[in-house]
Amino acid sequence: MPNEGKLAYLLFEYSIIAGVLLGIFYAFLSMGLNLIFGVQKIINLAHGDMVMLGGFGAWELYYTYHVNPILAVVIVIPFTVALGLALYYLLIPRLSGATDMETLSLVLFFGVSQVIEALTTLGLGNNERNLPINSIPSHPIHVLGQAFAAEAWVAAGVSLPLLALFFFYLYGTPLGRQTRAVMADSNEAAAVGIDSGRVSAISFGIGLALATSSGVMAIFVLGGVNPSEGPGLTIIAFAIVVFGSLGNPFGTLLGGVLFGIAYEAAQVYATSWSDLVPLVLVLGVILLKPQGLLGKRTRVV
Amino acid sequence: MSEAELVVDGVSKYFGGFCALDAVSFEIRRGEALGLVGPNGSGKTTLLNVICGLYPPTKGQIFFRGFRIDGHKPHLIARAGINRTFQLAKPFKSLTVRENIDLALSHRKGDGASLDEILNLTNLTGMVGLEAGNLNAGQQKRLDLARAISLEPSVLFIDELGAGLNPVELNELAEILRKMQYGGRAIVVVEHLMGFLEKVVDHVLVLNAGREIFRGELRNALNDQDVKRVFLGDSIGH
Repeated sequence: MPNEGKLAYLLFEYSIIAGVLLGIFYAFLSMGLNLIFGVQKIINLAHGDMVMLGGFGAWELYYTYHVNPILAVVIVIPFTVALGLALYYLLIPRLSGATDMETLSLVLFFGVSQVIEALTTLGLGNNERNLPINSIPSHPIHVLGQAFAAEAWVAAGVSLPLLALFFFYLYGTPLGRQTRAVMADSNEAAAVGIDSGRVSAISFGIGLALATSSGVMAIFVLGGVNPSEGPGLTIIAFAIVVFGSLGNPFGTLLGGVLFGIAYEAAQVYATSWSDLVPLVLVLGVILLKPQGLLGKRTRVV
Repeated sequence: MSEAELVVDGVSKYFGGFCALDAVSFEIRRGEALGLVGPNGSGKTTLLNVICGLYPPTKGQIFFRGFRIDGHKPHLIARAGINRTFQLAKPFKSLTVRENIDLALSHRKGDGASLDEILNLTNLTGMVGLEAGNLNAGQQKRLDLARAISLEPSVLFIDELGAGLNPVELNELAEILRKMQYGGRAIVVVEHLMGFLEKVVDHVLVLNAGREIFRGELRNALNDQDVKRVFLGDSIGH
């Protein structure tokens, strides 16, 4: 039997490794919210509902079409981009003319969140849906002599290449550079000839697609999905994005990983407090560094 | 005399009940440099924003090379040949100097100055690999200018480019603007600094509370009673 010191070290080691795995998944889950905020300066309060829809999509694809959930991650992307483009052109141009777009967008997307939850409940019932654990590789994976749940590795293993692809899009492609320009300032972007509306529409579609594809993994990480899951997931994603720095994709990556570690540490050392982790992160960063971990103080010339 | 490149005809702009621009008109030809002057809140930047498509005018019309452009999207107006710098230069800070300029070059129609020529003209040679956020105030303003001219605009608006710069940087900018004017561009300079304006423009349009109060040569503006009253107060004007 290990002595107390050894046990404490093993628990610490476990919380770090499990936290990094969970954090990569949560960074992926939050990235779409950050992209949409960065480009359009609106907070998509329906973000968590899109994650939830991704989970339901995976459930439907598995039981109706026998599609492996890992493949479902990729399948939901084009459908959600198309849905995102349709929603963008339906909703956003009407918002753009408003004098207080930020406040109106909060109200609008709160409404969208409620509509998605209500329609999902009406159409699919309010029971929790989950997938059999053997629908993805299910053997625990041992690292440093400790066993870590397979679903955590699968979620991180699927999230990481998709995050890499997203960063390549943002930093290595012409459309990605245009997106970063619009994130910096849409008026300045227009002055170099960038069609900010087109870039915003594509970013909105990609932002929603990131949410739904992370939802496919959420069905395993969270143990299942139900229609009322959305607002809770939005709060976690918002906490991660604010913690890292609103609008900064690297901030979301760092915020996600630190959230994962903090959450797992809370699970290990103070289980009943773990749900407070996102709120503590947001309050802490607002009090100590309001611009977020990677945010810089604004200086204009 | 050549046809006017840009014609602004009776343009008004209201924000709710507030009149920011009241029937402003002017025109400008290639190779001309016009100063747009007025105290804070006189409507100078609003006029630029309306011409460049950020706001639609409430009344009036704007023509570029004979085509009506008011109400068109700002990126289309920029690509067509009207461009601007911003009062608060905000280059894309996470992008390098090269990437900032390349973004504009990728939307240019037709031939024009190369990246090296633009860098040379704006004294940014040797900084192409630097992130824009690491440039100092003067360099960021020159990058703003470099991006604006990358689209080869025939009408260029310069919005308070001189604010916050030291005399050496101001002279540098004045020299750059003169070169552009001689290159056949029409330049409209929005500026508070009279010393800087004198080096760049001959004619000015003076606005106050959204209305034109003077149009003519800069040296005459400095002796005009209405202009003096607006800038220096009633006791000086009388």
